[in-house]
Amino acid sequence: MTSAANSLRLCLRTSNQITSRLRTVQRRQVPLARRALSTSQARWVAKEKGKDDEDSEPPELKYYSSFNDPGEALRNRLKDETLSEDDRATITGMLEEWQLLPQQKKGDAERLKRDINNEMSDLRRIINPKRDAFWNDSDEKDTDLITDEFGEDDFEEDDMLSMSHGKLEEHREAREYARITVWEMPLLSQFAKSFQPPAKEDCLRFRYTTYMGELHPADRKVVVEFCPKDVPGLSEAQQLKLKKLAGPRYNPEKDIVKMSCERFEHQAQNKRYLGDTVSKMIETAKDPTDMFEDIPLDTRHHTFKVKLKYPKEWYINTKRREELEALRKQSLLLDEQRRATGGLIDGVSIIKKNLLAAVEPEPVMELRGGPRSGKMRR
Amino acid sequence: MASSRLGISTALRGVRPSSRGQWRPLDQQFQALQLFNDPKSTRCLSTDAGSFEDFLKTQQDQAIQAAPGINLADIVDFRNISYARAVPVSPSYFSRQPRFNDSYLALQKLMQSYGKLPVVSTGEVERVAWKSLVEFRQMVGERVKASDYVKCLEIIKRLHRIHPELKPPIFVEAFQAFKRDIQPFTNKPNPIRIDWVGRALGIGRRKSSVARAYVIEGNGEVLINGKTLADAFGRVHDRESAVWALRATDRLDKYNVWALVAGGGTTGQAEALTLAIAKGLMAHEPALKPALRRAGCVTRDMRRVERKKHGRVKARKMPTWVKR
Amino acid sequence: MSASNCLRCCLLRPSVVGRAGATAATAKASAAATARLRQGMPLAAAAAASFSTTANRGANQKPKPGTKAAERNAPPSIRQGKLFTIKKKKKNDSGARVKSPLPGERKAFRKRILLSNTNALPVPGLTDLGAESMLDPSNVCKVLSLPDDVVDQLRADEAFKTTQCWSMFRKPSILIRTETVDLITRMHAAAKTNKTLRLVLTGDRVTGKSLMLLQAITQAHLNDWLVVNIPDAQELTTACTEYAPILDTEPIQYMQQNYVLKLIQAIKKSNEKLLLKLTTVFSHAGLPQNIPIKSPLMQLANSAKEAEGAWAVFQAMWQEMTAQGHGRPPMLLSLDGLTHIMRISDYRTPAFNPIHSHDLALVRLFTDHLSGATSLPNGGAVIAATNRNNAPRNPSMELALAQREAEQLGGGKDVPQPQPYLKGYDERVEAVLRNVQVIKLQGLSKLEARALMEYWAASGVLRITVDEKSVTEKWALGGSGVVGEMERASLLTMRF
Repeated sequence: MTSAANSLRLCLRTSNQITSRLRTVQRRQVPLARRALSTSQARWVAKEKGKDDEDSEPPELKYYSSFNDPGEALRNRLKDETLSEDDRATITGMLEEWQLLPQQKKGDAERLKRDINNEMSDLRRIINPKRDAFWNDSDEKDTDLITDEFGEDDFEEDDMLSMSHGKLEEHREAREYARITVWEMPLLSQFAKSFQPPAKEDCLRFRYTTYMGELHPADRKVVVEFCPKDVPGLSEAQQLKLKKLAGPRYNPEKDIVKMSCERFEHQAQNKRYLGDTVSKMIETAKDPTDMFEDIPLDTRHHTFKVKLKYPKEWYINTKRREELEALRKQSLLLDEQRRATGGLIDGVSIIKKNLLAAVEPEPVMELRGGPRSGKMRR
Repeated sequence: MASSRLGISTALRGVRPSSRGQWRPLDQQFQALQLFNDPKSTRCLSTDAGSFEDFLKTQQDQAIQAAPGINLADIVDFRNISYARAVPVSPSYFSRQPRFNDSYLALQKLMQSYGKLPVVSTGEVERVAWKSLVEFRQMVGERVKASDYVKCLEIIKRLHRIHPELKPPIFVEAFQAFKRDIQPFTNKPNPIRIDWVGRALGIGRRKSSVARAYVIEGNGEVLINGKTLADAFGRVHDRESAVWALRATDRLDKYNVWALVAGGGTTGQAEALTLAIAKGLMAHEPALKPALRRAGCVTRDMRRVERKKHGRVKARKMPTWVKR
Repeated sequence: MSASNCLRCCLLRPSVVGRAGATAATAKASAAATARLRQGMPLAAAAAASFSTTANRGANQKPKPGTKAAERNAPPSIRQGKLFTIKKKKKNDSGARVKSPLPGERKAFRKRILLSNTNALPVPGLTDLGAESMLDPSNVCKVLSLPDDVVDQLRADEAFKTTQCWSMFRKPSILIRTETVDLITRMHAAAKTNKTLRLVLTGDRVTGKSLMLLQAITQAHLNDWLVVNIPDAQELTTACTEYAPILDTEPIQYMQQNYVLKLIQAIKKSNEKLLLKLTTVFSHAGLPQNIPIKSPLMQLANSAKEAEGAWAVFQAMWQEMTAQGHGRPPMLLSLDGLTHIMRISDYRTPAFNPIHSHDLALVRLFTDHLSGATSLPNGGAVIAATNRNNAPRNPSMELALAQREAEQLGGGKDVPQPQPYLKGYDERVEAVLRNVQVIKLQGLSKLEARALMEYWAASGVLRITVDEKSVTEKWALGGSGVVGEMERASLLTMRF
């Protein structure tokens, strides 16, 4: 998302540098034949002193005149000897029309031309490189070296801090996007297309990846999915063979073959490859010479997910309720019967009873005679 | 002076006062002043509180917008008035905490008029979370004394105990300033419903286990992840704790349980099931809640593994002391 | 103690001693004491020298103040802390040396089976099993006890296991389940028509497979069948008894003479009455002893004295026991731990190739009868029980049993099929289990559980009132009435 926005911002940002670069390129278009191998520096032919300066205005170009006065331009054309009869007639007609035009209209046209010329003059001016500039930079204004680097960056308590500038920049950016959202995004609706569900014979589903204009190694990847059942004109046996051909790309749970390709440089190439492979597979599946009947379908690559089902027989309905009712009644009856007949067995009371029975006095060994007993008694 | 004030107040008009600021917002201070052209009709300073309605009104006015600017052209005979001066709206304007004092006096007045009404016992009162001192200070922007605030809250709580049917509607507004913005006691979990086939789905958690248990009337069968209790838990103790909610209430032979449990270890899963089954059971029989609480099946055990700290071997264990 | 007491008496009143007639030793001691007394020795010193183990302290024995002895004997002052002394671990110097158990004693202790507990209460109204009682469906959900002579026979068969809780009750008793009646009915039907019942008992852990086997053996003994029981098939295949190839067999088979000797002795002991009654009908060559025709089978069995030749005796006995037309009784051949004989054994050929379990002669005998390749001519049953604890995975056996079970339920489509790419299927195993009957044991019904719990409570090992509530509770805790789990949940816990 951010990368997408970023790229959008980069595209939309007006670039001043481009024009200036163009200019420099234009300016350097001096043909300079160089030898293939040369260690010496190229030098220009020495100019005669006092002849035209480098900074002097370029000579007026010829084609400017056609904009100045159309009437004059047409007349000049007529002077040309090589014109054909038809052209001459057309130009004469145009000249007459021009002369018939009222003076005010003529003035309008001239003003328009003047404006255009004014606008264009900057672009048309030939800019010669400044040799003495520091970086050969055309933008360098300070030829007299008035600016002094010393103390240039000192903070004079008259500006916001850099963090504030950063914040301001953030605001500008946000507002720029707000403008785009309001003014330009709605225009995208012109490109909206209505959704066409795929037709019955479009059994292949392709998936592409885009990173919104960024380069990414994965954006060339294409994935295709199809269900062997949907492939037109395949019998059951052929479908099975197609599944076997697909190998681990076949998902038996969803009954879908899924293949991908990122082998080639471009998305289209990868898609082409996939399409070719699928058609080759279908062709092979239709080939009756070997139907792979001896090979069972291999699903070892897939782990089937066990879906636990709530037992339906537990659902409470009238039948189940009666059943439960009967069970409970039966168990209650059983308990009651046992209780009535004394058959209900209570582990605790049984143990207690038996322990009591066990405490009956047992014959105790008596000590008889002997000096020890005698002493003890004493 | 007056003209500059007017200028500022008009400039600030419509800007909501920020209650978060440390200081009293400027416009508030200016709004409290009002221009009277008839000095004889008003009290200059009064210690007697006005009625609560007045107070509320002024409070609202203050909160919503600045005082209207004065158009001198509207005043018919401005030049004939001998003098005009600003008189504070609230008598406690010159005290240190005017807003708090106003509200305190208003509450006292409410107490005088409604304090004799019958009250309900503390257990039956609707639970309300009142603002803490810090929160209240932030709201009014004054340094309210703690002891004063305690007194104020005492009155509020006493008034709040008045029987709900006899409570005058004015209380709602009067208490609003003292109630916390978010009332945790109004947060009620969604009641578990019994679905069309008669089962109630309870969800329980313990450590890192989550259990979903469908409790349905039946004859004591328990299936956990499609397995019987014995297959699901090797330890008898875990089996017992899984169905403890049913055992503790003697309902094991009345219900069937079909549960899904995931995550954590055996103990966690078993005890997550306890909670899940208890919740499902409570959906069927809400009256069992006290019994289940006594059996320890209602509260979620929030204990987790304590994190390891740096400088320690485990969460608490220190490394062995070594002499150099 | 009494001696010193005596001494005190005699020292104080020497005249009493002589009159009371004390023992010679006492008299001697008293005489010595009096002699010392006459010599003027201190009294206490004399007493200390001969008897007392306590430190002797006396006024006349006071050590000189300042000496170490004085410090040692002085009562500890309050300021002085308790002195910590490390005692040296004393070797057992009591004189009696601890005897380490003799070889085999530990194993005997481990394998010991206690069938009675005098502390348990006798259950009133407990009746013994009769020859027909396990056939009677009205006996389902009843606990009946094993008759004493059958108990002895079962003990000889090693049908009781250490993991079963026999030692908690007064008398070994068993619960009759619906599956029991089913099994026993099938056995009887087979014996009546001189056919062989071939059956496998299977089921989850602790569902009572071994106990069901015990019930079958009990029934066989009660009805005077010949019983050959292999109590633990693990012993045959885990390479823990000696083995030797049998000559002239193709493919070569192996006999386990030591085990066979043990088995012969078990058969002898458990079928004693029958073996004495039955007589030989064939003459056998190659036995360690010449057994003439018409001598009792017991004599034949007795001829196996050593492992040498035990296999030959066993073969001869088998031939005699399965002789047709000589009034031989039906026979039960049973085995516990089927999983162990359905795999490749741990034995190796001389070329160090693994030996399949079915190439062991004794196992082969059993599997042939189980598969139906050979049958018991006088009728009877071949019953095997699978085991789940300590059991190796055996996909082909599991599959075969699942298939048989599904077929018995009459499911045409639901019969599980082998996985085409799974390794480890064994064709020989599948061949053996191709048409056997299968009884799959599951949990008890609630009524059965109730009967069992009533028996437990009446024996005084279960301290609860056995009603529907408690039965359901234990039934659920035991995983829907799995009998072993119920036992764990109610008998083997420390809580009551």
